[in-house]
Amino acid sequence: MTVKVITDSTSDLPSDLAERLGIELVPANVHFGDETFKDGRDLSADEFYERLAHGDTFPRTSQPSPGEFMEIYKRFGKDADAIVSIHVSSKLSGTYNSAVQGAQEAGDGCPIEVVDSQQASMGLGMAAIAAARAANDGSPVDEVAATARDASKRSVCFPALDTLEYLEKGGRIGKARAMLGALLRVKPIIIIRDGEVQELGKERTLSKALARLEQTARDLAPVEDLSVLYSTAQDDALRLAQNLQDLLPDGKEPVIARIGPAIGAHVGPGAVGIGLLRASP
Amino acid sequence: MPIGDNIGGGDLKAMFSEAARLLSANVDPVNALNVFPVPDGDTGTNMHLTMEAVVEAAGQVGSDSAGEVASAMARGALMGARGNSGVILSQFFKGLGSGLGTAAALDGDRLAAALEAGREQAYKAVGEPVEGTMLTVIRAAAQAARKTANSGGSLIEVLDSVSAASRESVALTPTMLPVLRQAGVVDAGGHGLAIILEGLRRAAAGDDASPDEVPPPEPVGVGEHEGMVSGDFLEAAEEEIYGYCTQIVVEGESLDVDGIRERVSAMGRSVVVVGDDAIANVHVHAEDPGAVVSLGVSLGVLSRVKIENMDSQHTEYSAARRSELEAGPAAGRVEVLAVSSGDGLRHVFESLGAAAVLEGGDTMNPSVQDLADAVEELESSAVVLLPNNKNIVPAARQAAELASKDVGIVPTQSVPHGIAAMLAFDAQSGVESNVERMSAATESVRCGSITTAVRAATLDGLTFGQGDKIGLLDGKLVAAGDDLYRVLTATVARADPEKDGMVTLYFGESVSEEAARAAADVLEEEISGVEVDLVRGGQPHYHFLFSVE
Repeated sequence: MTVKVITDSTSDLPSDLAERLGIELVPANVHFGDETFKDGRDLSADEFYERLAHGDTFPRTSQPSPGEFMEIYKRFGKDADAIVSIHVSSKLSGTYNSAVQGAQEAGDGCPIEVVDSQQASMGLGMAAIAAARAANDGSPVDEVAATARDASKRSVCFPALDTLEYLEKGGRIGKARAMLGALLRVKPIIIIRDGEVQELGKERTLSKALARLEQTARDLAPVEDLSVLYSTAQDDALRLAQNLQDLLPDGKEPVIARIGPAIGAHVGPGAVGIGLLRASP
Repeated sequence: MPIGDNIGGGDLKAMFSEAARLLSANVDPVNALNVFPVPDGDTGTNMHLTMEAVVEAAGQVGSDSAGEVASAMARGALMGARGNSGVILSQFFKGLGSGLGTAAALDGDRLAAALEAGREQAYKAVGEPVEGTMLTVIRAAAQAARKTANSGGSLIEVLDSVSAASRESVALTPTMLPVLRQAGVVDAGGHGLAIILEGLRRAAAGDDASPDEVPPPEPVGVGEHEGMVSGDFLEAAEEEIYGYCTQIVVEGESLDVDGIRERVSAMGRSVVVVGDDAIANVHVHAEDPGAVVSLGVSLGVLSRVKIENMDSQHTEYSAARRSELEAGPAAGRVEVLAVSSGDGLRHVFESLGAAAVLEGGDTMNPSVQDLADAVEELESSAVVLLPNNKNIVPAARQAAELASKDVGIVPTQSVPHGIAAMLAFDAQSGVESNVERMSAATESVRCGSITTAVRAATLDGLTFGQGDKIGLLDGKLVAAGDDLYRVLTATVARADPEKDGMVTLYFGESVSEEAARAAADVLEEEISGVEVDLVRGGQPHYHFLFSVE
């Protein structure tokens, strides 16, 4: 049985890894004023952060339309026996809703399971990877979907941000709102919990924030899979990945993921974080 | 010029372009209402762009068939849908399209049928239909259309009733959706849809005198106090919103969809049953979801069952609001009382979540009674006290014993210490865990101050004259001299900041902002790698207070 795993670009899955695992990434839309870009397709992360830093219009993001999902499901439904489509938390984005509509429009040809990961960025990415591995092992669709749901519950994502400004402007600040308005320069650390953005803590300096991320990852051990994500500070991400190597089972390397435009519009430049999959109890 | 009662595709196009135009004139106010489901302030933009796709698709139809134009609009909406609101709108258009079918012309009755199909499709579109949203407005519009059409109303009369009913139902959205009540607004998507329907009415009636601005109706069910709800209202609403959102998919042979709908209607509200003779999709808000499932089993094979307690969101809000009404907003949370002087420092504490700041410091130690009174004045019965001065710590301990509340003390030695502790405060945890967490946060933080010597002396091996500036680090004299900047730099340097260290510099009432900025620049120049966060403290006596972390 061939099961195709589909996710969206808010997973921040590196495209080469997605390709290797056979995961299709549906691009979210990024809008600068009247200009619309397909996340990761016609707007690279570098170009995006450049515009974010120097442009005067604040970017907005929107989910792929139901019609776009319909077309993708029809395209992949031809060669696959079933599709498992796992997406960013429905509390943060309408992507899940769009995918459900798209699946209905696609008709009865190929069964489609749409999963709400309640996660974002590599929290979602980790779950998509787990689902794709199950699919590549030849598991039937129910099992792949069950893996996607189970991995979603075990995955967490917690970035340290340079500023809350972007999260607030984009309307995704959720319960981390309490951190706003501090008169001091702080590095807010957020976590996606119960499908929404919550506060994990705040630190004054980057090195303390990175140490906090590392400690939080260790507190969540044992870990099955781990990724380090960054918007602009690659060196910090690489160092963090190196420090956390010992948390992973032998032979596994942390995934280094660039935060793409869709998530980057909400976390801003200078964000560094961890997405990890806790081992099954 | 009003349109006739039996219109073709050309008139339909004109009506929807007027609707799109009217919406585009109201995008910003609709955006401003946006709190549900994601408060990203672009519901108006998303609906406007979806409508543009609708109008563009309609424009490509050559024929004058109303049905053809409606199905083109449905396709346009499907491909161009943006945002959650756009997706629901696209399903509404899909229903309109299928409701009109191949009909060449549209009259009041057909419009009612199309709106009813739009309603069914829109409800089907969302996994868990939430009332108090665009869905509610669609439902009200379809209901009004049906009623007017059944009593023989013309197309224009149907549109009149649709526009009026949708506006009324927008006003009622806060009675159904807690987040709207909290925010004291009506639903953005609902209002956007009401504007579209009003646009259709205006185009049909040839009404070009009404102003382009369509302000949202006054929200109903919202109390005087910024979106707060009265206890009476909660009770009324609890009777309204109830039950389980139950969805089943039944597969069988020669299913009777209308018959199923009739039987399900007896089991609850918001009933949507769609399908054909082989498969039926049933949605109902029922008190007893078991009865719905049993009905499904008796009809065929259940291929999907989904039951969700709709009350949970509502009861959660009700319970929270009730306990607020009964015990005050701070009940159950931990509050922080900080001792500090200077308006800038007060603001810093407040911005980090301190519930109260008691004026006091070096030359004005608050008494045990002052501290105990301030503790009692807080709303919460669980308090963390930050004395922020080593001389106030003993009084704080006595006050904690006097107070009737659960008081924990973080023995902060200085104001910057207290601020470091405040950064680790978590209102959701208890007093004890906060004291532990906040104390730990102060450990790696070094604090200092720069003041003017009131008399000459030799202290800690340093000699200084009256009027000299002196620098203290962690309570110990480390620098003295007549140059404020030099003393500051020497004192901070003694704290040995790390490479990416953060120096937070609070300038006092004796220092101008300009002079403070210059001091920050000097620090960043002289001590390599540090970042200075300059904050107005407004404190007396100390030119500068600082922390190094």
